[in-house]
Amino acid sequence: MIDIDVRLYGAFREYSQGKVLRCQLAPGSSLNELRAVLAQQLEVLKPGAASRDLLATSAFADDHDILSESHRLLESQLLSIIPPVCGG
Amino acid sequence: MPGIRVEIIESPLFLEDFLKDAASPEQGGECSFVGRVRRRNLGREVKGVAYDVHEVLAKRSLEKIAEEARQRFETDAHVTIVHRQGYLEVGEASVLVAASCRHRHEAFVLCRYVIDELKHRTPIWKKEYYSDGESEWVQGHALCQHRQEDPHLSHAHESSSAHQ
Repeated sequence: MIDIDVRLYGAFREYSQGKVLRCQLAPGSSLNELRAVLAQQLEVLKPGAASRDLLATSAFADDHDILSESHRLLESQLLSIIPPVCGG
Repeated sequence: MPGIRVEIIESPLFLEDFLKDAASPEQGGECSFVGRVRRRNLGREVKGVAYDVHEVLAKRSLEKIAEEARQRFETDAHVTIVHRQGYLEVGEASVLVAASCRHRHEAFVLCRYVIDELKHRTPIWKKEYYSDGESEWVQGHALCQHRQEDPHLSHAHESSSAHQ
C-alpha cells in the first residue's frame, strides 16, 4: 500500500481542522479511486455533507501542475485537492 | 521572469507600490484592473471575504497566464499581477492586474485576458462572510480534466458550493 497525503483547500477546509488527510491505496490506483477513499474519510469527518459532489468537480495537483485524470499513483506522495476555483 | 511580476500578498494591496514599477519608457499605454470586495452578492450583504490560495500553483498559473497574454497581444508588454490572501473587508482591493504596452489597445485587451483567465484557472478560493452571521464558499470553475474534456460541459463549468 502507498500513503497519499492530500492537502485540503477551499471548501474542503470545512471538513477538517487539519490541512492534510492521509489515504491508503494500492500502487497504481487512479484518481477516481483516490476520490472514493477521500469520500469515505470526509463522510466520517462530516456525515451527510455531500462531499461526493464536490469531489467529482475537484482536481488533484502536485506542486508542479494539475494532474491528468489518467494519472496513476505509483508511490507515496503529497498531493493537493483543487476544488473549483474563484479568484479575483 | 523578465517583464512579468506576480505576487501573492497577505498585507493590504497599495496600488501605487506596484503601479510605479509597472510602467516603462518604451510603453505608451498602461491599463490596470482592480478587483475589490463588494458589499452585496446575490442579494446578500457581505461583511468580508477570506481568500484561500495554493501559493505555489497560483504563482505558476499567473506567470503562465501573463506569458500567454504577452505572446497573444504584445511580447514586450510588462504585466503585473498581485492577489491578496487572507481576510479582506468590504472595499479592500483583492486583485490588481496592470499591463504596460506600446499602445492602448494591447494594454486593454491584455489586462482583460489576464483577469478573465485568472478567475477561471488560478487555484484561489473565496469564502464570503455575511452580515447575518453565515458564511459560504463562492461557486467556482472546475479544473479537473474529466469535466473539461466532456463535450457536454462548458469550459467554465460552475460547480456547487459548500454551505455552513
